[in-house]
Amino acid sequence: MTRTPDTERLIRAYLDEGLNELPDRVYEVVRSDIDRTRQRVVIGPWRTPDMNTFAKLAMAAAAVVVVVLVGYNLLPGRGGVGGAPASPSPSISASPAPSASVATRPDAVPNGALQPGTYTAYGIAGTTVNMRFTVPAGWSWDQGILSPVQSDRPDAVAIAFWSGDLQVYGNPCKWQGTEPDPPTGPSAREFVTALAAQPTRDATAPVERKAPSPGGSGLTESPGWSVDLTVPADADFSQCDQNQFRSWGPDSIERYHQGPGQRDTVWAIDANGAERIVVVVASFPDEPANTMAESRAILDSMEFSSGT
Amino acid sequence: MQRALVERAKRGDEEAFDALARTVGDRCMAIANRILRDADLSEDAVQAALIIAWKELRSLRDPDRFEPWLHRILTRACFAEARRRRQWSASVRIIPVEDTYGPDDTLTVQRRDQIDRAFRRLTLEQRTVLVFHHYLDLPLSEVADRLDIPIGTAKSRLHHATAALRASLSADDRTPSIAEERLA
Repeated sequence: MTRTPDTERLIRAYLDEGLNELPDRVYEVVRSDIDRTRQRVVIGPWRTPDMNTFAKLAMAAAAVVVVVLVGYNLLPGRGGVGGAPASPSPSISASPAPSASVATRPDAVPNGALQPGTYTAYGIAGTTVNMRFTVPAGWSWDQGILSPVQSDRPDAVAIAFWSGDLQVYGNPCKWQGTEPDPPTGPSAREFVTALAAQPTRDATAPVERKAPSPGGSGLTESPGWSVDLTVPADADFSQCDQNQFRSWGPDSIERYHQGPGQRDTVWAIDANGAERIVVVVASFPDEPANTMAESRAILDSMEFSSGT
Repeated sequence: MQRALVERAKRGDEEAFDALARTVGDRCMAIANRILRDADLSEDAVQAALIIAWKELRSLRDPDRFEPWLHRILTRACFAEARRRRQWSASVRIIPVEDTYGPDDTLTVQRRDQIDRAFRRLTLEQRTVLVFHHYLDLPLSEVADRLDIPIGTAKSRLHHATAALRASLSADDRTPSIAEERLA
């Protein structure tokens, strides 16, 4: 059976019919919704996320998931993390306007390309902890994500931050229903240990890595632990729950990976003795050596202090 | 102008996103309505797609590709809406498209009804390829890109959809009385 021009003409004529105008009420609903909904921070490769998650989020109209952006780290107690820690509070403004007192601090990290130098992210990852760090030329801070300024490399290395009650899945591919019971412990060591035990990750042995504090900050060196994890190069995300390969959850503060072979250096810190901050350096094997070295240097420069 | 709006919206500017939505909303509605052939479902799909686009906008690396990126989200939203509706109702009663858009002069009322019934029997995936190719006039390579499918799959869906439509129309032509009964 072959397609005939007549059939094609009929199809086109048929498709010419239909509604062509979106009612105003839809724009109004959208506007109202985005006013309560923060944008998801994406780290590493910027690929279109899985629609199952989209659909699920879209349908959960009553459950407004408020994604805390790292960009809000300028707001006291409202910092964000890459991958998106969440707060269910709809009262938090979605407008990323920093408070004047914090925004005017000369060392506050701005969004966009950064001049080489030392900056402070106030209230990193929604905590009351400030993070001081130094960047070389060619790096940017984009709503809490540190990455090289190379728009033609969407898979470039990125550094992002998490906080909150993270739960390490027992299985990173078939992760649904594998939340740990009992839950992942609150300390940096417990978190990193759980990650190292996750199957298929080719994890390094956890190592102690304390987090330094700036001199005179009133904060002593914080306990911290680090581990390197890899997504198997032959991982088929389409076979994973919701097409996502996840290190940890729950939803809205999950760490889902951007592709097979991705490597995470995870540094968990018990900042202030109570607030766990997780720093992730995410990269792919083809990342140039110089930017990998720069990312390590940035990591090494990080210092954590209390208060916003 | 659209690029500037996208860039502002990516930085969290809600006004910019609202303006952006209004520049693309009608086209999204047209696409959704032609895939789903239902006004309410189409509105819901576009609404969901725009909200998802807002949430995920930072994942869009090339602001000039906003519309193709949005169309991919929209397509998935259409599928999700259709699935959701099916879950709610064992027998989905699709409301016919309003006839206020009068038939093309090459499409008689009877012919239009024939093709409408045939179109509704296609899978959503097949309908989508038809809409993107014949309504948006996109080449199959671009259709494949927007739907995130291999070009071979796009070709296959187009071929089978067209063949199915042609077969349905031929069958209706042979049995007009049955077609009339279905209309009753």
